[in-house]
Amino acid sequence: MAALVLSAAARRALGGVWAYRARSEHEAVARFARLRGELAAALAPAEVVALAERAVDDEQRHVEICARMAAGYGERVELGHVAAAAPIGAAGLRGRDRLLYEVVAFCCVTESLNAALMTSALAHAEVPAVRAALRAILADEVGHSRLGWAYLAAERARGRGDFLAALLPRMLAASVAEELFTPAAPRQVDHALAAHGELSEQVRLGIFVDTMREVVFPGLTSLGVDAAAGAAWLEPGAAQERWAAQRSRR
Amino acid sequence: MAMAKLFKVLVVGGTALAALGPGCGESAHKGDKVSPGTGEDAELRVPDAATGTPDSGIVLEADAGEDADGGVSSWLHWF
Repeated sequence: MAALVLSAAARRALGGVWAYRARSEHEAVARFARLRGELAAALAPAEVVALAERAVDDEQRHVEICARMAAGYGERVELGHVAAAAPIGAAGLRGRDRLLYEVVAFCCVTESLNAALMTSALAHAEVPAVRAALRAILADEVGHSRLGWAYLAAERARGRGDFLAALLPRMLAASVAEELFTPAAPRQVDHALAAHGELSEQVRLGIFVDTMREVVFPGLTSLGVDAAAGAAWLEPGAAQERWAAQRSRR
Repeated sequence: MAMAKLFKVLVVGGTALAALGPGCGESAHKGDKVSPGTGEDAELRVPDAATGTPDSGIVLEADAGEDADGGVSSWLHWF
């Protein structure tokens, strides 16, 4: 049980993590609420609209779980502000194309990634309260990811979505902090944090890469969306070039 | 991590929902179709991005306007 003992700094970090998650889930409530209306207006399959409707309630529950966890680590979460859930997509996209872009970015990419991260965090976590929280949220994230794949499949059946192939790099860039690709020295693994479900940057980067290569790209390919540009963006050499370019601009 | 399992649960499970569920334009209630030719109908309901004016009473309201795809927070970058 010694591994479960936290330093004050680790406790603050974990409180911050769960507070961040609470705010992130709060934003997701508003995003799914808007998407539910847009999907219904676009006459998406009934199952997809139903999943979006369920997701609104799921995310609200997640906010409460995450805020409770943050409080457990001594961090109070302020959610009084109006959650921002602005539409996303490249400027040239309109109507159904923009909606499809957002659903793929949010559900196929981000929610699939969240499911992978939580699966791994659950495997490392030893603290019962953390495990319970992760398990409860993970069960819902599966449905949120499926929503995206179901809608993409329906739109592909209508011949839509070829444009996604070229936009994959920007979609990936928006879903990951570039700092994760920083060639930093490996940090010592903090076993106490791991026991509380917190994964190191290296582990998180590995999960991101694996999820893209083994889940998202094959999923897109199976639905006839060319994932080559996304795969190229993910190549280690390309990541290092981006990092070097970013540094030179500072 | 068993990514193959994740692929099966998320991607295969998701696309199966589209294949097995009611078709586009059909309500969740059996036999309660919204209208025939729904693909085209849906296209008509998409508002013109420049004016924000929908072609019907149902508004597909959101338009990204400027490039705006940095807004989705994942659990990946939580520091």
